[in-house]
This record gives sequence, C-alpha cells and structure tokens, in this order.
Amino acid sequence: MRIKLSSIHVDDQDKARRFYTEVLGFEVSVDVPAGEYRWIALRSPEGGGAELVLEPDAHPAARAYTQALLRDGIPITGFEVDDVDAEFTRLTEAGVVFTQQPTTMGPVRIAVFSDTCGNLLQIYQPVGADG
Amino acid sequence: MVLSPHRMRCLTEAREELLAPADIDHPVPVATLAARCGLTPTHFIRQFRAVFGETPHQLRLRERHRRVRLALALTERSVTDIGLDAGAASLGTFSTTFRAHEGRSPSGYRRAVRQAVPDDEERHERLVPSCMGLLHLVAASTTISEKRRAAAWA
Repeated sequence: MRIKLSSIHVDDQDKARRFYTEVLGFEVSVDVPAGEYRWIALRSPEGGGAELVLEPDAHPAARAYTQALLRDGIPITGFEVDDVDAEFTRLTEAGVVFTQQPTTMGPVRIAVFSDTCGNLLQIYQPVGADG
Repeated sequence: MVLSPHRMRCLTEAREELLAPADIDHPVPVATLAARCGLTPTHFIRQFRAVFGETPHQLRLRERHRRVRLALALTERSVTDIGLDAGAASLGTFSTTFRAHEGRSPSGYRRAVRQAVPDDEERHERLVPSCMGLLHLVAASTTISEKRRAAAWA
C-alpha cells in the first residue's frame, strides 16, 4: 500500500481551489465532477508524490470536526517549507492572516495561518537538533 | 496580518453563528457580531473577509443557498415554503436569487436532480457525501471518459 492522498475539508471548493493554488502555489492534479461536487486533488510543484484532496464539508461530521479544530486553534494539516520566515513574509504580503507567527518549537520552526475555508494550516521548517 | 487568539476566537464564533440553522429564522445583525468582537462593523467585515475569504453576508447567503438546494433535492416541501423559510420576501425574489446562483429556477433544479438521480438514497449520498465518498462518485460519473479517468489516476 502507498500513502498518496491526504484529504482536508473546505467550506467551498471554488474558494479553496483559488487559495491553495493562487496563494499557496499548489498545482491542480485532478479536477473533475463528482456528484454535486468536484474531486479536486492538488500537488506541490516541489514534488513529493502525495496529493492534497479538497473535499466539501457538506457532511455534518466533517463540518463539526473542522469547526471544533478551528475553535481550538488546531491546524488541520501542515506543510513542510525550506524557510518559514520567508514564507511568512510572502504570505502576509499576499493578505494571508496568521494566528501564530514564526516560532521555534524544539526541532521545528512553525507558523499557523487561515486557509480562508474554515481551517488553520501550519507550515514548518526542520531546524538543527540544537535549534 | 497576525491576529490574537482572542480576536481569532471571536471571528470563529461569529462564523459558527452565521452557519448555524437558527441563523435563518433569527439572523444576528452583523453590527451585533462586530460589537461582540469589539470592532466597528467595517473593521469586523474586513477582518472576517481576510480570515474566511468572504464577508459575513456572503457566507450567510452561501449557507442559505446550500440549505435550499438540499431541501429542493431531498424533501417534498413546496418551493414557496422552502423559499420563505430561507428568508426570501416572496416566491419571485427567491426564484430570482436562486437562478442567479444556480443558473436555473428552483423547480427546474428540483426536476433536474430528481431526473438525474431518481433513487432517494443515492441522491442523499451525492449531496451529503461521506469522507472520501467522492472517490466512488467520480468512478460512477458518466461525464468522464475512460481515457481521461485513466490519465487522472496515472
């Protein structure tokens, strides 16, 4: 078995596709009709193999889950970056709202921001063991 | 922009309230939501939009439209009742607003969905998909050619 897909739930697929591609820089791998919704899978231009699926939050369980995480300030997922501080600057200039500015926590330096679709996202940069 | 945990919490609670079923019958004024966060309405709307990608009003309308679509597709309630429950002033207003979002009239949409998916259970599944449920819907969709489907999963 191979781990190829990672799903997150978004409150609007159009809004999410725009944010994740135009602001975050992911590329569309698949975008096809699926019932009343769409199957949207994104990949990173930096490679990596795994793809991010933007699912609707129509199911009551999905909505309850994402709202609970958001309420408690818990990111739904995280992306690895080479330079958290540079990303923080770039995304802030693009209008992204952060709830946690770059902070070193043990082996990683992290920052947390809103994906405009009801989720918080974390970006993290591995730092030296003595970071 | 970096928001304090308190401010983020306040905006999150406002969004929850806007998305709650009770909002349709008793919509909380944006001015009230703003005051709860200690912000002027203008400032509140701007921050809300920055965080959630849409204004409180846009979110409220989008959520109402979602509920209307579900009611039209999955229940037998009259179009008029659905429209009035969604806060429309009249059937005419409801039809116009719905058509602007959806490209067809409420009854047109209802007819199309029931014709496309006559089975009640399947229709429910299509509109309220389970986690990863979209995968089997893609496979079942007749709008995708074999070649394109194969290419998508290459």
